[in-house]
Amino acid sequence: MTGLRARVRLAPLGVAVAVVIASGVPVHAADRERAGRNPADRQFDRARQAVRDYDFTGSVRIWWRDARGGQATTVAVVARRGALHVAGGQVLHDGGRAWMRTDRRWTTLWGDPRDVRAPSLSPKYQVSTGPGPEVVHRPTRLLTVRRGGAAVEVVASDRETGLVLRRDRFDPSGAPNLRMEFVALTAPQPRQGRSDGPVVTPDAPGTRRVVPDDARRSLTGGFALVDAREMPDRTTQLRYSDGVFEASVFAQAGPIDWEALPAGGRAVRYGPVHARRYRVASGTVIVWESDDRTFTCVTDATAVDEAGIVADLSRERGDGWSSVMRFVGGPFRWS
Amino acid sequence: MTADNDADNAIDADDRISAWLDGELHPVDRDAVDALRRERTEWAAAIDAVGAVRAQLRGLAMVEPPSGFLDSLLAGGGDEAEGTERTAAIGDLGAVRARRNRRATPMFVGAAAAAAILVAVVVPGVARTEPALATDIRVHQAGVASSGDPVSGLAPLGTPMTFGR
Repeated sequence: MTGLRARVRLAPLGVAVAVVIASGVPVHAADRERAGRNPADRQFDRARQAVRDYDFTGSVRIWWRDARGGQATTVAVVARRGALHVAGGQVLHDGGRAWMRTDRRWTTLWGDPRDVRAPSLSPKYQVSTGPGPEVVHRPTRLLTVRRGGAAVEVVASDRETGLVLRRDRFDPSGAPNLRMEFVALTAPQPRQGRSDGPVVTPDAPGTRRVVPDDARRSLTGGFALVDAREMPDRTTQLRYSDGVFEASVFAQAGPIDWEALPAGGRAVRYGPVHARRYRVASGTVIVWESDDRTFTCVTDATAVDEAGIVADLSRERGDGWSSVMRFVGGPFRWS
Repeated sequence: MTADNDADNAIDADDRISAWLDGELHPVDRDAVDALRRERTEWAAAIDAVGAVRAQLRGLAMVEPPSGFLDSLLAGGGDEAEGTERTAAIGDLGAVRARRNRRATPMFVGAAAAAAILVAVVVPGVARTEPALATDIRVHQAGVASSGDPVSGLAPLGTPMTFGR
């Protein structure tokens, strides 16, 4: 489940910090609001800060829907000394970086926590806030994002700490698609000490690169290119966001080996593009090939938006296709 | 939908069923037929019927023609011609194929050798890509968690990695 993107704009924040230092008071949400951030950004700023500032233990239930119906599982989460441990420590998040434990080793999933040029909420969305329901016996503040009058995302955050306690996603028909909610939570306590996260290896995935000038900057549906990353195997990750939903497009040289794909999924067509589409706990995965390239899109966008993303990136004579091809085809124009 | 379209669709369906039974479909098309077979009773019935007929045909034993059958057939053809049509002489099919093969073999071998050389020299080997979907999902979610909500971003990674439809 991806998120409303928090945009750390260094200049406004720096001004806010300078004002705070001058006035001798701590940084509050109101200060950031004056710095021009929208309610969704502020809510997720607080959520990240809550994980850094509080120790807690909880159980999170993940529910998602695929062709078989609703799927659900419960995951243990522990925040301790500024780091978030998921699934018994299988996944670790610390200061914007993330690792997964495999064979007694840590594999870096995300090694560069610098924020990205995320867009503001697309004009297609409307945001409102208000009091929310109690979740795990804690009062919440509700953020509702609508598109065309219909809710596409509802986020309930803990009033005291800002921790996101429940998050719902809906498809365009209004049917629920994804839900994350705490079903158990100890009272958050101020953090005790500071953790030392694993070392980030130099070739770790998620190392941020400067977005090339000729990469396609926007896609149908208000998605903007916000980030470019490079994987150790030369796979390129392009991150697009419309301020609510996010799509990562991974591109690799060579035609796809269809036989090597996981079982499940379904064959779909986006115009002339043959693809395989999977539903997973975090959203949708689409795999396709074109012009001897293999593309994988991981997204939580709606089906309409995902069709636009695939079509735009597969348009052989459009500027999008050519720019993506120049981008991923190498030699890379990283700077 | 017009009758022509119906006919075209029927032909297309026959071709797809035949190719599906022979394992000749592109994986995407194969999956599509798989889905039709599961979800549409008429497709399942057609596939089963065509498959059964093919299996029966392929299971039939070779039958020797009765003694004198070919001679009588040739003689009959001459009698019925009446000056307007002539029935072609019927020979042994195996012998005909052998003659064709003998004629074609030198040409085929030469063309095949040329094609092989061309492929070896000009066309580089095509390495197929195996996208690491699980890794892509994890990296995507880790990125989301780094700039959005960490809990909802990372919690899906604690679930079993299942790929549903």
